[in-house]
Amino acid sequence: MLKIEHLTKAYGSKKAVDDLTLHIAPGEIYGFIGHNGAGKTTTIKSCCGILQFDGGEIFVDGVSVRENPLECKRRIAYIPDNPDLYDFMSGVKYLNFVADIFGVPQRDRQERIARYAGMFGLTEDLAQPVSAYSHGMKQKLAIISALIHEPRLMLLDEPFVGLDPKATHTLKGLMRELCDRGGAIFFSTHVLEVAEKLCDKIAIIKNGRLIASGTTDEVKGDESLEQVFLELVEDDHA
Amino acid sequence: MLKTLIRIRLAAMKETVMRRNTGLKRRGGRGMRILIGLAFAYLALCLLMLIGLLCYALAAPLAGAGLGWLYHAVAGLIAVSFCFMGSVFLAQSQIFDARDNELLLSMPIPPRLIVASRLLSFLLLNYLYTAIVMVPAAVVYAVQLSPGPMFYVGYALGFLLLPMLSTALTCVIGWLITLLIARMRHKNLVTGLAMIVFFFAFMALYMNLQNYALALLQNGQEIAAVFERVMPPFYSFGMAAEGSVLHLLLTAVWCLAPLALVYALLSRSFQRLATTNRGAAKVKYVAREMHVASPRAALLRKELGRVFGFPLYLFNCAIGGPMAVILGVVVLVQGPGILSALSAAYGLTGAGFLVPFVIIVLCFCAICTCTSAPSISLEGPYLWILRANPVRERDLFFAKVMANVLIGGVPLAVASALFVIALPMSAADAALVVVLPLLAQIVMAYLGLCLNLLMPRLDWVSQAAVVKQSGSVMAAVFGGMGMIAFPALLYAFLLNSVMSFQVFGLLVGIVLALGCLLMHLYLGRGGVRRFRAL
Repeated sequence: MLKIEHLTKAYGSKKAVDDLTLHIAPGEIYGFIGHNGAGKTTTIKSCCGILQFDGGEIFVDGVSVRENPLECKRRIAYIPDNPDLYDFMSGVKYLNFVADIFGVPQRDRQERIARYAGMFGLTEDLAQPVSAYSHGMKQKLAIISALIHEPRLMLLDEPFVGLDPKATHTLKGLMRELCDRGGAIFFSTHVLEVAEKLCDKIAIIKNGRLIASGTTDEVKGDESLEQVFLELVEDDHA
Repeated sequence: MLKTLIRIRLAAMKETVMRRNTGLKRRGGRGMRILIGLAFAYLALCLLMLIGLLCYALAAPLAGAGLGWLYHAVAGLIAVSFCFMGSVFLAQSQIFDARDNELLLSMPIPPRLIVASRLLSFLLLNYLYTAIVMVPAAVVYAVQLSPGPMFYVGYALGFLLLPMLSTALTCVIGWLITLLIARMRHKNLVTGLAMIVFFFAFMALYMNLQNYALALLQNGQEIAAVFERVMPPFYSFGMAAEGSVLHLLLTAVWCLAPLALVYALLSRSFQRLATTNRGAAKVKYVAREMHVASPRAALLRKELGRVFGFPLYLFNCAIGGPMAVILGVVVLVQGPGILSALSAAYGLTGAGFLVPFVIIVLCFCAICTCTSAPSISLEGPYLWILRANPVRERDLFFAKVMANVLIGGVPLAVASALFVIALPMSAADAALVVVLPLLAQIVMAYLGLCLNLLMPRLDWVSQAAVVKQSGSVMAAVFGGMGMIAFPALLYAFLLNSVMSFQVFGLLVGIVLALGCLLMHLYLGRGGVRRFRAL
């Protein structure tokens, strides 16, 4: 579903991502963990065509992000860590805007907006301007807008930040549901307990380089993910 | 602590004005800052000259009639009005809805100090506005009438006191406006319209200053009586400038008391004012049939929504449309006489200059509508939405250009039609009056977008700074002025003996259309590359 081959991206002389290779198969929830500034966001932004990268290749369903970004974007959904949404629009207008961009038929968009807004408890607030939303409400709106075109691949950057426990639970359920339908999810998080329980596979990145990857059981072995992560980070510091 | 708070406010103001608002990289930033500085200096000089000339006409006659105090009172009134119009809409963002209110309230800082720092920064701004009026007024009076030392003492103290009155007024009215508008459904649109009304009120005041001066000279005694009865602070100031110590004390009372009262009231209620949600009542969502549109139409609707949802954007980049329609209505109501008078006033006495004059006026309105110039910069934090979704750059550019053309072009077409109906002109002239301003509008839309792609500023702190001070906005306006001035001068001084205006107009139209085509081609290639590299 998502193939990252030798991805390299530098900001000036600093390599944010260095020769990173990862394969995410259909049906997989792939967790991406690392310290602040490790290169997680840069990797995710490169995968969804926001950032132009310096080396390597990224394929979504076999389509090159570099060669055919629009076709890739039609298949994916991206949620940033801090979703700034058009604050001059109301929630429902923003969702309708995204549905227009993806060409979602009218009946489908109405049904999906009603379903997802209901699940996240946002229905009553959809007529409010986005500027009146709290951080959590914006996050919920961004999640609904990401689901509106039924993407095959979701790229999520810290998706649980700002969500209340019920919304977090709902999102986890939706992520599993999407993967059960043959989709895939690649997401970054600092909440290692969530990653440990939710992810089929995990990759750990440090200073732009992949230092561990594999199934959750392979990566953590007999220890907790937190212990493994701290050991790997400290090993590198030593 | 107060000193620190004021320093922070001043630093924030300096940051807003100076900090790479132009969107140019360091290399080009200095040149642009000099250009912006020159533009502001030019504007200030024009205002100083206008006020100086007005004062020159008033000072000696009023003083001769024993109404020297009225001269000072009028200067004070104009200064306070100037402050009020210039800063009343800032009260909301600078005092009641300032972004750092909650941060400061969470710190061990007494609210009264926060209020004091806000009021003092406002007061400083008002001293600047006041100086534009009162300094030339004082210089003219001093040069023409050689007053005694008490004039200087009274006038200088009055200069220090009057902005306190305007600061108090601005805060109270600004708060009332904030409260009133916040409860309205379409508050952004209402704020935008209110700003436009204020602008036209200001322009009307500016344009009629000579008439008011004449009225003042002809009816000095009656106006003096009105001032004495209805506007005691200005009467007192006028008398203080004439040397009355008693009135100097009264001026101090008139100016200090309202400010002290506002300070006391705000200090007591600042925490409540700053943290109360004054928003309109919550609108409950009711599912309705959704409007389906193509990506292009959706992007266009988004652009229009942004312009009409952001009053400052509407006011700064879309003022040309209302201006053109108002002019068209005025010409329709007043008849062709008004334009003849205007063209005579500008030295264009020949009848053949009427149509070119109309076209220049309408083209000027076109350059005052350039919503595309800050439109890329305004994407700033929202750029990820366009990047992560399957949006074609060409569709985005189309939406930005088309929004500009619609916002400026529709009122321009209406205004052109009104001019054609109101003024006697041939069919060829009428065609030029309709087509050339529209072409100018399309050029402005393309020019603004191209310039913003070349000079983007995406890391802004305040959208207002992007709309008001970006390099792309200024460059587009200057470019637009060149677009009007160059052909106008070319025809006036070189080509009017070689070809008829109709032929020249046709050539200008062809050049403008070619310009649009070239910029369209640039956007399709270089523009797309630049956007992807942002």
